Amino acid sequence: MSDMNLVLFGLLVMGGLGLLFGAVLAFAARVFAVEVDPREEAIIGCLPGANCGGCGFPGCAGYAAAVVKGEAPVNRCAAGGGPVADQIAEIMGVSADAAVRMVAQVHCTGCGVDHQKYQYIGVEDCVAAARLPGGGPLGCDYGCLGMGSCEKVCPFDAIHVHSGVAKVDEDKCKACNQCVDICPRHIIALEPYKTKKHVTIPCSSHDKGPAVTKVCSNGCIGCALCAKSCPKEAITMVNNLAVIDYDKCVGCGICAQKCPRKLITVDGKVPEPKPAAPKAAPTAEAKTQE
Amino acid sequence: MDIKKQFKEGLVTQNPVLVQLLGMCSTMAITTVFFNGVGMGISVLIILTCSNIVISALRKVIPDSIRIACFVVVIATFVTIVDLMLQAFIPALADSLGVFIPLIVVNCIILGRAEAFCYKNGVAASAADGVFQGIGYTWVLVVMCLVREFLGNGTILGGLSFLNDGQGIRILPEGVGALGISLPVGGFLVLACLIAFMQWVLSRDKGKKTEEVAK
Repeated sequence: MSDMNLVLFGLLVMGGLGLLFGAVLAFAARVFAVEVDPREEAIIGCLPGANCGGCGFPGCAGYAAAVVKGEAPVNRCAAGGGPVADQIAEIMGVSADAAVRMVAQVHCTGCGVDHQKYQYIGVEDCVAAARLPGGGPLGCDYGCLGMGSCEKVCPFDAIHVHSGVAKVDEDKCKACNQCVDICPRHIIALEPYKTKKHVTIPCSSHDKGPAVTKVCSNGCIGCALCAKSCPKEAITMVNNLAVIDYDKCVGCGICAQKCPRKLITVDGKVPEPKPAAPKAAPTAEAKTQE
Repeated sequence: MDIKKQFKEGLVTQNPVLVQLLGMCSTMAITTVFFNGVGMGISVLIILTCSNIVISALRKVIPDSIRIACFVVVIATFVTIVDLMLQAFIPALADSLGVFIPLIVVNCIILGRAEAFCYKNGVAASAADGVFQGIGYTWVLVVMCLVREFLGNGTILGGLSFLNDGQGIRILPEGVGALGISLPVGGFLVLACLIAFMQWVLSRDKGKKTEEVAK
């Protein structure tokens, strides 16, 4: 009986204390309430919550705070993509039409994989291989080592090594920057991705023409034909390498036609020289007229 | 209860950090910048005093077998109130102390004083005990902050927003400070030196007293 009394008394005391201090806390929470911008919580609500850090802020909450403060654009969430950007834009009352999807691109075709400086037997890891004398076994000092460090680090299974060179699966890529950061050759970069007429120059070599032809069958030789032919002046030569300014590129593909190395691709393919040539010109005009 | 004795115990002979070695976690973690030490110390002082008063007032009501749970309910209440207050009025301090404010709930000093002192003593004595133990905790934190900030970062009185934009007064040129002192390992070293100094002072006093008695 006394045991029972103890239990009941204990329950009564704990319950009473809980009730009393609960009331005190409810009062304190009211008195010391901090006003949080309701938009911040709304934004956290529509973010994926993966805390991947792809936006460059510490987690989803950090990004939401930055958006509300106006320090970050609404379309930074890489994992959420367009739909999330639209939702955030609606909360912030701005338009999200500036939302451009970014996709990682490997700037190497892997056409130099047959030109090896020496035979590499060791850890299958680009970061390790790149520390060796000569920056790894590959003949080209700039190309993809093809040992899949990016493949291992990709959280979305969006980059894979095929026949010695990494290729990005554009549909799966969330532009989280992980492969860009790990690549010891720094040949992966985020590019604005257009679903149609996406032009890329998949080469990173800053060597001069003769040096490139020795180690690669289609690397950029720095001839500047693409830069001269571009109607929008979107291509510039940077230290013997053609680089596209995606703000200017309209995807006409003239550069791809002119490239003597058949290096430049449109939508991932090198256009056929003869049948595509008359097609490309009118589309470019149509684009400019729009 | 002898208030002078309580004062001496709280600040020196029974100092919560240097003698009882309680609350090490927060002591190591936050004593890198002056303002953090003061803020943490005063937060603990307020919570300790309030919970001491309430627990000693309730000591006749609380059954023995569930006393720890009851202590935690009381302590958690005051910790939550102080946490809310800091967020409302000193958000910069709340940010830099971070999780260590909620962690005061399980800080051994407060639970230790509740168990060892308030459960056996009256309200007034418990309130005095809370204040003195709180001051004892605070002065050790402040001394550790001063030493660690000076040696680790080369500044003093950092974190005060009105003083040099929170950067503190630079004494040593930039880059001279030993980063290790700002890291937890430096915290242990500084604390060890303080404890050693304290024990030396205490044993010297003791030696004098025994000599006097012998005479």
